[in-house]
Amino acid sequence: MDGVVSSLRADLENHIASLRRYARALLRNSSDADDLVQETLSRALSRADKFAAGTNLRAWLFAIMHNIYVNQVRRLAGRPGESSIDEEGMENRLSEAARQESRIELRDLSRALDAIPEEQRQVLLLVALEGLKYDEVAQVLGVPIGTVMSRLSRAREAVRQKLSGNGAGSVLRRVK
Amino acid sequence: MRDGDLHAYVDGQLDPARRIEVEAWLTEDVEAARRVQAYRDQAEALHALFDSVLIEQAPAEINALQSKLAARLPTNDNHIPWFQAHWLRAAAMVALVTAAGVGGWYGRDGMGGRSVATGSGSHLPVLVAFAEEAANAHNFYANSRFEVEMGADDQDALNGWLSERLGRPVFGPELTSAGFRLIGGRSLPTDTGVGVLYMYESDRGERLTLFVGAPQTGESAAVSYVQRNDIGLLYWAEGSLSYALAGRFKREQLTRFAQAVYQSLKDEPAKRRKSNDPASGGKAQPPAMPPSGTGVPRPSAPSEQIQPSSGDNKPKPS
Repeated sequence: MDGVVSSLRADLENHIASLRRYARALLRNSSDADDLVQETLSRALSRADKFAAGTNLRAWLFAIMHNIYVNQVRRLAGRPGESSIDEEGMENRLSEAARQESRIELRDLSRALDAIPEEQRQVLLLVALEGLKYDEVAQVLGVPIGTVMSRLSRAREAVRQKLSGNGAGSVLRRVK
Repeated sequence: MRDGDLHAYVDGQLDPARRIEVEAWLTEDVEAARRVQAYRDQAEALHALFDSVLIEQAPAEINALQSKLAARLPTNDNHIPWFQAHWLRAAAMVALVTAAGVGGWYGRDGMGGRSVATGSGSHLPVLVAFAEEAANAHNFYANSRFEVEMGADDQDALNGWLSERLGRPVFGPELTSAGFRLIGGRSLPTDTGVGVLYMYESDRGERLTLFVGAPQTGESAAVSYVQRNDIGLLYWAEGSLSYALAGRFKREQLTRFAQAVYQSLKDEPAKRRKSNDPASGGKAQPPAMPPSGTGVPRPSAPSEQIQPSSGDNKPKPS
């Protein structure tokens, strides 16, 4: 039993780290993001007895967070990143010098992310950043898997187009 | 070939048979191969943008909720096998270091001035200054005859003494998993307050130092990487303490060592809490005189203290 319990703890820790990263990517502000994660965990705790053993804990947690985000956060927050201090901090960080090996300018990626529709952004982040399986994403967002795939495809192409607008081809070596 | 296959290929969600077919196809379809590369670059850059979150300390409220939730959830989860349990943090560390090369938000050519990230808070200049001290300390002591003030024969004594110097509990992390053994430590007066330097050595005689201090950084900060000449540094702040791991290593190597540090920092306090409280006396008594080189006998060590020979950014020997 010990092994099972401790693996659940390890899973949970990893899932929460993943939730925090996703929340940060969505909100671009660390305190807002951690508030969202905190609210997610509070709700998960209050519904812990509804979680069915053997089902997908990660998808369950992400789904709770997604619902809070859609119903509360997004309504209050306006577009992510706008006028947030963290965003400025990140911009500063990203504007820093020499990137001889850079394929993608991170600041450009950050802007491209902001520029695509939110539904596409969520799918892209859940798949490419958090590594969720397509069926997990469908479960989290409450949409058919075909919708997940089409959003993913559009998100990736849109980001690719925006990035390639700044340089030549897929390998960007910008000279400022 | 469907569009979905291309994405599933990028995301590692194809079964092996189909994957082989897609790979064959990609050798012939240049545009598709270009898309695959672009999507992979996107994923890599996303990690570079956001993975720093993974090694930031979570707020206490989140940790408390995590514990409660772990106790409440039914245990028959679709759990990750034990051997993958720490993949996420490990992946984060690797990605961070990759980001240093790929994304390049870190300073690359030194720590002074504008070449270093001046990022997301007022604490960073302090942390950068702290890292500067750590680089100097490594540079100066890693090959010094006076590499340590006190050896690691009695780690409790070493940790107790350094805790006393620092004014808060500190210990030398266990890095044998990364191939390093602790050989001793010293304390240093620096511009950012007292610092503690732990010295490690590999079987091949390579030196790794962990510099720990309590500069007023204000808050936790994600791992940053800088290089100073041939010394690489990973530094971060967690709680009231700041850490800088330094050595003549490639980023990837240093990252692996930082993972070991991180793991030890995470695991050890609970183990040590009982036995290593500097306030409670016991074994952790500071020696009256720092025994220079104790436990690490070096042939023909000169009797005078080494003084910084030039420059004013070397740490003052304590």
